[in-house]
Amino acid sequence: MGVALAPERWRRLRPLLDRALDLDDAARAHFLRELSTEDDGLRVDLERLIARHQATAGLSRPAAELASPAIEVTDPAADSPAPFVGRRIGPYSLTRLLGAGGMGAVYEGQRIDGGFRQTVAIKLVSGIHPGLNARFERERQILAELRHPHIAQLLDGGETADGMPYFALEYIDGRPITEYADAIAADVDARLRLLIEVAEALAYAHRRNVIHRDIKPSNILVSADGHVKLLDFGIAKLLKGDSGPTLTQQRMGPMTPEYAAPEQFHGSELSAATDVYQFGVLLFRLLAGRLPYRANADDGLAWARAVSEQEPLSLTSALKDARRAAGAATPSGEVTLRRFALRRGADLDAIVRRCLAKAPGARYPSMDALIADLQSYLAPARARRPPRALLAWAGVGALLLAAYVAWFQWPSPPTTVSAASLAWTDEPALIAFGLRPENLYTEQPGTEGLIRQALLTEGRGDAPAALALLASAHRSDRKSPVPALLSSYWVSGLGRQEQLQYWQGEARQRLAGIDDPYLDLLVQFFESDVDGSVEDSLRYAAAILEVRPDAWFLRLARAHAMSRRNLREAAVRELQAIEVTRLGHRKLVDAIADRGSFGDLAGAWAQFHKLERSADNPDHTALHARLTYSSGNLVGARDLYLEAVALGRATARFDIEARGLLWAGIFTGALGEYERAEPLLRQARTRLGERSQFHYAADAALALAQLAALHGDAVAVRAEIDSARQLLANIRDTEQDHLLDLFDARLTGTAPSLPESLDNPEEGGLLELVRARIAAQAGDLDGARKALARARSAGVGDSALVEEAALLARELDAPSFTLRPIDPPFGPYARYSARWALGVGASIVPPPVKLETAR
Amino acid sequence: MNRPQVTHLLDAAGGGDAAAQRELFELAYAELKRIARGALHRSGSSLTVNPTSLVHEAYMKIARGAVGSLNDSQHFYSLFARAMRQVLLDISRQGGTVKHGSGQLRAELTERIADEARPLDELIEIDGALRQLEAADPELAQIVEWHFFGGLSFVEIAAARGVTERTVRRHWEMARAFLLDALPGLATGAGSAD
Repeated sequence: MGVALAPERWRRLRPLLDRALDLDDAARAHFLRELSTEDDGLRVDLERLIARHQATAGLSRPAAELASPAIEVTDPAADSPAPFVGRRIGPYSLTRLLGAGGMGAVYEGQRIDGGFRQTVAIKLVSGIHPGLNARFERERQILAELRHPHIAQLLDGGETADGMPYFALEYIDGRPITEYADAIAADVDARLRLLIEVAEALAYAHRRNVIHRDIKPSNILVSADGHVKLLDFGIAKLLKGDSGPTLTQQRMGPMTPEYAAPEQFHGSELSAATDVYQFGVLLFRLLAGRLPYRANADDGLAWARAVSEQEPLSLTSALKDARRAAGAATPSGEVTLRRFALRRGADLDAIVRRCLAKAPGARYPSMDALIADLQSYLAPARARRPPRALLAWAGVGALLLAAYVAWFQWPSPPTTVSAASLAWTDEPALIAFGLRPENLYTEQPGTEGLIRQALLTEGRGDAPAALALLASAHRSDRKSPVPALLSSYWVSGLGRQEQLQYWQGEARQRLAGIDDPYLDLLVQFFESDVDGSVEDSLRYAAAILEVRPDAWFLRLARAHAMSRRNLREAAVRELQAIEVTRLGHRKLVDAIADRGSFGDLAGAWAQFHKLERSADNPDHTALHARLTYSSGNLVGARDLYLEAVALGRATARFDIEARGLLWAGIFTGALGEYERAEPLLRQARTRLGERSQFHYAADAALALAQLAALHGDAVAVRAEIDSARQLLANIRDTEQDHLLDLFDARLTGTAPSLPESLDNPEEGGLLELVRARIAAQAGDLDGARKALARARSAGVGDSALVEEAALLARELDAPSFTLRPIDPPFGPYARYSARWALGVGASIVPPPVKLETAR
Repeated sequence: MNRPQVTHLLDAAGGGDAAAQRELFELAYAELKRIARGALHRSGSSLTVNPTSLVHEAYMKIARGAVGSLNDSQHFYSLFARAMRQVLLDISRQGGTVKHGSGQLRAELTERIADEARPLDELIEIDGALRQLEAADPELAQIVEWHFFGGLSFVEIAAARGVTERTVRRHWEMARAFLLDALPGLATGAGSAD
């Protein structure tokens, strides 16, 4: 160490140095010359100090950074991670290093099990995490059951032989969402679509009480087909540190400061709202190309304080910053911002700000509510609607809010009707259940508007948004039982079984104080329909129709129940009683089309031609397509569905877009145009999965598996079937599960497992068919033939499994089965693609019918 | 330690209660040590500890729930930066000991790390020079402690002291000149310029 200036010397030098630093070079030289006459030594010291000042090196890095090597040195794991390649961890052998991150290193691993090879990602966690094993044991089940198309599944975890924690995850070949979006120069809509996938995955996990806690681009990969996968669900929680006394009590485990919520810096309790905040940062980052605070994110302290105390930037001001800095900004960020600024930038700002609220309670109450706002932003049809976040942010009271929302959300394309003219008896979506204003029992003036809007929204196929509206109505209005009642029915339709009991309970509680025979019947109908008690639901629907004959949805429900019992004539009579002059609810399309499928095709066409027409009504096109199918025109039906897809996209009817893609894909396959079918089915799977229509998404996946099998691509077959399994894991549907097992067995040559129990004795054919397949895979052809014969006599030929039976019969050289047209097009739709394998894809369509189709 | 206790402690310490000051210091010191140890375990493999995250984590732990009252708390910054300095020096001295060859840990050192032991010596030397600055000019020494050891930004320091950022910057520049003058090796060789 050198010798420091003595204190008395410094006291003389400091003012001189201060002065000298104020001067430019010339003035400084002059200043120094003036000094020299007075005290030569002082001048020398001052010149040296100025030179030190000008040195760029030295004290340029903070102390903590200088100390960091010491921190590295004493970690025994400080050697390179590469030695782990080739090692075995649990049942996996590590094949290569994929990367290193905040918690440790990630490897590609292979599990080799009886010839079956599975590639996984193995995350090796460095450091010591007391209690990790116990926590993992506790959480293992929950995390393993987290199955969603946008979540990379946790497969396994534990400790290596030398005590290092590891996790095995589904291997995802993709790149971080930010990188991906920039690489494809995604526009705002495309970015929002990716984000909605993320949000759907989070919503799903939140419903299972799992929060992510570490949402950031590197944890969100986008695969080559453009879909998102969230990694590391629940792992942050597992890694939370020791819980000692005092300040360490709430140690929160690894986090990423840039994306951390205020409560993570404060060590307060984390909740789903923490994910909402982190999602908000991601949203901002993806749209603006930067983080939402001006503070330097590398300066941890400044960043932590900004997160805790400062208002986030608005997207619009981030755009202004970017313009000022012209060139310094991320180009793609600037592009996207410019683009959205032209559109409703303020709407997105409101969404962002509600996500980024400091207080967890002030953020979106659920991911579903957030999704609803994002979707409403995306939907051009609802351009006039300000998201609820905007209103909430503006501090509008709940009462006013409800009324305001109702006013602005009113009504929606395709038919634009002014709010005033819309009565409960005019609009198909409002009449559906026979509800009237006197059945609502509201205590807030806005509630009725919210309920009406929810009915219309659901009619357009956007059940999640409708549910968000109902949840808001239920919260603001403490009296009306109707929001809870409708919610209970619709959550069940979305497969959100865990929410069903809640809403049923809420509905019953509110109904207890109300004496309304109609509502009592409606609740009975909903509950029996949800339970699958067909007899009861038929009875209650009939009772409701006595008092509300125009409740067409109940007629449709009755007709479907009747047709399932082969009472087709009764079903047709029920459908004929539905009088509509215009479409305005997706199920009305079914009501008319089913009339044709059940036998009254001429009547259905006649009704179609009587409808009020508008050129851009996708419901109209979808109905046209269905009737064309029933009339035996496969090519025409396919083309009309393609038209419906385009129209659905253009009018924000994403339900029609998604279903139309599936139909177009299935029909294109039926026409033998496999190359063309594949992209349609891929899109269908995605769109349907996004909309939580897991049945249909799985159908698309199985159709893709069938295509892959036709191409002889065994790897793709496996992948598609796995994807179907994951989709179906979101819901339980025994019928579809059995079909999937048989599909899987047939396409991969493995043996299906026998169903543990049969819900329905009529499924005896299924049991025998599975036995036949097992015997066939085991090489017991004789046993297989016998089982197939038993399946035949048990009626498998009339079931949805007839294609599987026919395919097996062909393999076994057994007598074949008759394949009839599938009309109405009831699911599971995967069976349609099984006919491709039989070479009779087009046989799904009834033989062409001559009908006068003059308009 | 819960939130009201920390707030109470800060108030008492701010009011000149020596026992509270000592307690708060102990607390900060213990917390920093613990965090440093945690960071040490967390950072594995080829990863570098993010030094600023270490600092902010410590700050936020201590300040948790009391952020509001700390905004203008010079006192808190002093305690915090002092504690940070102690901990970082402790860590560096341990690193130094390792470098000079004591037993087991040495065997695990790679050449790369032996090279990097240099900044640790640097840190210890800077600390020595800072002691001399404390004797000559406590005002400037505090800036160094806050900024260099505590990781506080000039803006934050300016706000806490009620002066302009420009003034803080100038003070830092003068302090830096003093320190580099006492440590000629630093200005010429070691440090990497930003």
